[in-house]
Amino acid sequence: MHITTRHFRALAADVDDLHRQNMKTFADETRELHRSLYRSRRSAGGLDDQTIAGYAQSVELAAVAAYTAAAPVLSSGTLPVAQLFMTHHQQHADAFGAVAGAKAVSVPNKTLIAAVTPTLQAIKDEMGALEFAFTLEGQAAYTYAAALTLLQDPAYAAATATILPIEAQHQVVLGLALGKDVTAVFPTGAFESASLGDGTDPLKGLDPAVFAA
Amino acid sequence: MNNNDLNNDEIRRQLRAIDRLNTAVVPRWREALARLVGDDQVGTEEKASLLGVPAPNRRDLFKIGGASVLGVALLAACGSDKADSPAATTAGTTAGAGTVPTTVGATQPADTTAPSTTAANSGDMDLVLARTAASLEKLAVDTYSTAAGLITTPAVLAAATMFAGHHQMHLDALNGVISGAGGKPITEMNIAVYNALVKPAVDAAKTETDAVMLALALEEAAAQTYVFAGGALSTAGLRSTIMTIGGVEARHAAVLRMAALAQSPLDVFPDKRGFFPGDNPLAKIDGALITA
Repeated sequence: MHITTRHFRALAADVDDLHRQNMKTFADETRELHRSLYRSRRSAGGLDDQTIAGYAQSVELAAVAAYTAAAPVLSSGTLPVAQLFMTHHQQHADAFGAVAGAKAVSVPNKTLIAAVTPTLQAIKDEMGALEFAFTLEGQAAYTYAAALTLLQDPAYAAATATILPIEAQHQVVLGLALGKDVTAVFPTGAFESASLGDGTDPLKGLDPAVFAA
Repeated sequence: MNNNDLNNDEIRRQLRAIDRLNTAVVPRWREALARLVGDDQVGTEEKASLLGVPAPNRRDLFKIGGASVLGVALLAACGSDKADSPAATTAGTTAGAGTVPTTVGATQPADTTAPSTTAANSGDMDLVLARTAASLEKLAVDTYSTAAGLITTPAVLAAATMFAGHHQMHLDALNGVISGAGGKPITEMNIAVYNALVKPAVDAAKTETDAVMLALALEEAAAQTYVFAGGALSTAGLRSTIMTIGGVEARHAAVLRMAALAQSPLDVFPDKRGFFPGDNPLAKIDGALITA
């Protein structure tokens, strides 16, 4: 059987068009596959993105509860600042909850609340409350720096990245309000800590393995 | 052979070229899929969802495309699902993930969806972002040096000196990342940002307040650049590393507002914002991204 060269070239052109069309789809679908993998893969720390978001939500809700508990000892000049920070933490909790899916929580992190309750109950004045909040805000910032080492989906990381600097700025405001010098409002120097601890070290974030909600 | 016959040699050459192309591409695609199907924690239903194909035990229609067809073949070959696997029970929830709030403002995280998509597409952007960040750090070092001439308050000068030291450490760290990736370390400031933002302010600066305002603008732009990068870099490690710097730039800005400009604590958070902006502040400055 013979076909003409012209016919063959026409067939080849048709095949080439089809191939190029399929390759376009192939590229888009491969890209989407990679994004989906980001969402579904378990991180090296054994926590998926939704679990981390749910944990962060529980920590933010605990921060709201802590500010609420400390509010009675705050002066009228300080209270509006604390209320703003409390609002921020509620907003952060809502943002994390919105992406936590089935891992979303409705109550503050019970383990964290239990850990800080003795300190909260011992607070007698505004300085004590600010010092407590100063430590908590730093630990929140460090928790998010550590979380960013685990989050697989860049979209979750992007949202977390918008929150970390706010917690860091909270700590600066509280530190300066406490009369600390400028060096002290950079507790871990030129870089935020990305380490996790059991809550006793003010220079480490709150380890989800310790404070699992 | 007449003019209407096929040229067999040409056909063979074309076929060999196609075969070489397939031989080069298919193993990489196969490797990517193997990473998916080799994950015991991902159930077959979920794998099917990721691949955009029906699970072997479902009868729903599927879209036709290169990845879909390959996915069906692969799933058909990869065996049965584990009914008791944790992933099998969470497949439904995973499918809905990944949609974060994206409205910029005081009550929502910034829109960083676009950069995250870009990051997923190419790791090349990592080097661009690292170079750009390094060039901004160099610009900050140089700007603090220039601004120091206008700063007369000892405490403010001490803070500025400390911040310049931080920026030098950031520059060194970023250059370490760049060198590690095979790139050339950054030694020059970001000239596009300097011309667009810094030079006009430096030329007009007459007082310590002018100098601090310039530093504040630079710190906030730097912090915002890092937040943008925090959603745009391609690996979790890089995203965390960049935000260990971004958080400190945000601290600098807060100190400058309160300690150097005597602003109130509430002014640290313009419009009471609870989320730091994450859109690219350099997007409208030609040449601000350092691509090589």
